[in-house]
Amino acid sequence: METKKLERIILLILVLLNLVLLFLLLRGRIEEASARRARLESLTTLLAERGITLGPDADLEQAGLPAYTVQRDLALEDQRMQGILGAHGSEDQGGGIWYYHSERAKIVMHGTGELTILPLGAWGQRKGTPYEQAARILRSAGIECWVPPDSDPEDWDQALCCCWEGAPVFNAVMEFGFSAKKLDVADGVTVFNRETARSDWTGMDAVSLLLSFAETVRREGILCSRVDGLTPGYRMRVGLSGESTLEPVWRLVTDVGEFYVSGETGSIVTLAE
Amino acid sequence: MDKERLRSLLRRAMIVLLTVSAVFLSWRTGYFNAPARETGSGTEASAAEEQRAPMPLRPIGILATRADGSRAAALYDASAVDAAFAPLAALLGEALGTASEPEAMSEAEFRALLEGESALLDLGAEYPLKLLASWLGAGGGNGGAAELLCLAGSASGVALAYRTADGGFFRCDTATNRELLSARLAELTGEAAGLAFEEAGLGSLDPFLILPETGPTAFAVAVSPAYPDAGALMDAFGMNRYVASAYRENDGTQVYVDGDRTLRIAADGTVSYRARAAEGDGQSAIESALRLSEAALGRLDGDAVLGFVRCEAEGERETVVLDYRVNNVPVTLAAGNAAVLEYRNGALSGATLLSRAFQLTESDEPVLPTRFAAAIAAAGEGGGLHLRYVERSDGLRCLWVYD
Repeated sequence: METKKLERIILLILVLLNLVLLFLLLRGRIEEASARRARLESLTTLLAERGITLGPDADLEQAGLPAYTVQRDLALEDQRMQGILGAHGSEDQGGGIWYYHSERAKIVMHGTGELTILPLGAWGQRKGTPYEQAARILRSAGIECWVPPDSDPEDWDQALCCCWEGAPVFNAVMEFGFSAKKLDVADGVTVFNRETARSDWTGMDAVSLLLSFAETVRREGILCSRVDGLTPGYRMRVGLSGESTLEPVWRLVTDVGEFYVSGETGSIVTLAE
Repeated sequence: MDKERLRSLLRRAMIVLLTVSAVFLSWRTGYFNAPARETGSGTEASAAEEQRAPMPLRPIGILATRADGSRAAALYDASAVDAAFAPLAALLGEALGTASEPEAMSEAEFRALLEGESALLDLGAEYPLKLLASWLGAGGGNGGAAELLCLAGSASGVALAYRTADGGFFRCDTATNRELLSARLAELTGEAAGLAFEEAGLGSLDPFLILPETGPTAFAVAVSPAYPDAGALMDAFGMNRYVASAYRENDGTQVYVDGDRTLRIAADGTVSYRARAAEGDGQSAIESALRLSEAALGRLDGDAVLGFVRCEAEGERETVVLDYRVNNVPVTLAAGNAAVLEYRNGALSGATLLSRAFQLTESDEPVLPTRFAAAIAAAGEGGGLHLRYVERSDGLRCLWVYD
């Protein structure tokens, strides 16, 4: 009997506790939704005051991204090269420069993130559009890539952004040059491969970003009337050889051109900074 | 199974389910979550990895000359120099690591490099190039040493040129990409500046003295003796604090003895260490001295850091001298250098450290503009011109010092 009573009391306490937690959770969700609605209304009002409209492709549900510190891991790098070259040799050229080679291609990787791929023989001639060929080479090295939506996959000069955790790193661009449908050379900058730190804060989301951009437009007198799209991504800044930080940056496509806006400060940045 | 037992089982199952549900809901509400921490193995580096982590390098001054002839400079100010150095660090590391055998060059040839697309770095002291390469994350490097470094665009790519402390000039070819140098130089921001050899009337000065259009700005700094923690000192010198015997001398000096190692801490914070030299740990004397001094004095520095001044080598002995720097301006203490460490065969045999605490105030310290100071120096004996915090009877003063 005693045990039965105790079990009932515990059950009652747990039911009450669950009800309270459920109430707190639902209240939090309602407050979030309400705050979000209020922010969207502020955004719509502010944009209307600035004479800016949002295109149908401007997705306001996108969240911000955290900043990362990444390092070069030579063992992981060798695995990437295995994906591109198959069985290969490697040589340390000093100064953080490594040379990888096989019968397929020669590759030089710098501690600054620069990468050069020189195809050999028939390896440079592959099936698919130029974009598909270029993307396949990067994916064989475990590197996801991104191109702007308006890029032409049939263009024989392709520029692909390398990605980190699925988000484009806008200044880590690999350029693939083809001639006579054959890859001549791929040259550019890639992202280092090992995460060493990640910030807890995820940076501005799409709504905060646009609020900040609207203020920048007013302050700097930019003649922007439409935001067609926004893409969260990163800007890579290389510090010491083999180390870089990935700072959250948004790419805004407007009727007066594209802007890159810091996801941390909301200010317009250039990718070279 | 009878009904009562079934009900009991059901109650217990519900208790378990509700407990799991409560934990899940607590996590989703976030009220009871532990503070998030940084992920990645980099934050869990072992002591050995920290020992080998690259040391931060901060030049005294940087002058970038872009392809269009415009210039950007940063001199002394720590945040300005760090911002100017950040785009160049990896590039410099690569250049040092891939530098060819050095060839002697003339001063005129060095000057010519600076008139084109280039980055001039005044290191403030002569550093071994191999050490710099390792600090910048790159391997390699030749056996030379430099107090001035220059990365310059050349017909074959990027050249690394440098000046040694005894006035020699050398040039190396590197594997660095010239386009990348151009891009990095374009990223640099800073104020416009010239070099002494480009200005009339400054011929008696160091020709590669960086002369910004304005500045410098300096803050008033307060300095006071700081009594170091004996335990931290013993740890830094590898003494066992738990077995070391301790006694106090008549003048108030605290003495700790652990085998053949003796540590003395004077009442004014002066630290003296002596040991019968053991085997070295493979680090260079300079790197060892910087790490050890930082471990011994780092928590007391306040707003100062320890910077390398010089390394004197004589046979199997090396003496490394360090001074404090506040906002990247070296400090000259009345009692001498901040740290003097003696090595024999790569192992520490003696050290003298002056323990001080520095505090930047919000007041400006009036300093003569660089070009005024240069003109005055050139009218006198000329030579080198350096900004220093100098300890005088009335405290620290920021002054131009000529040598």
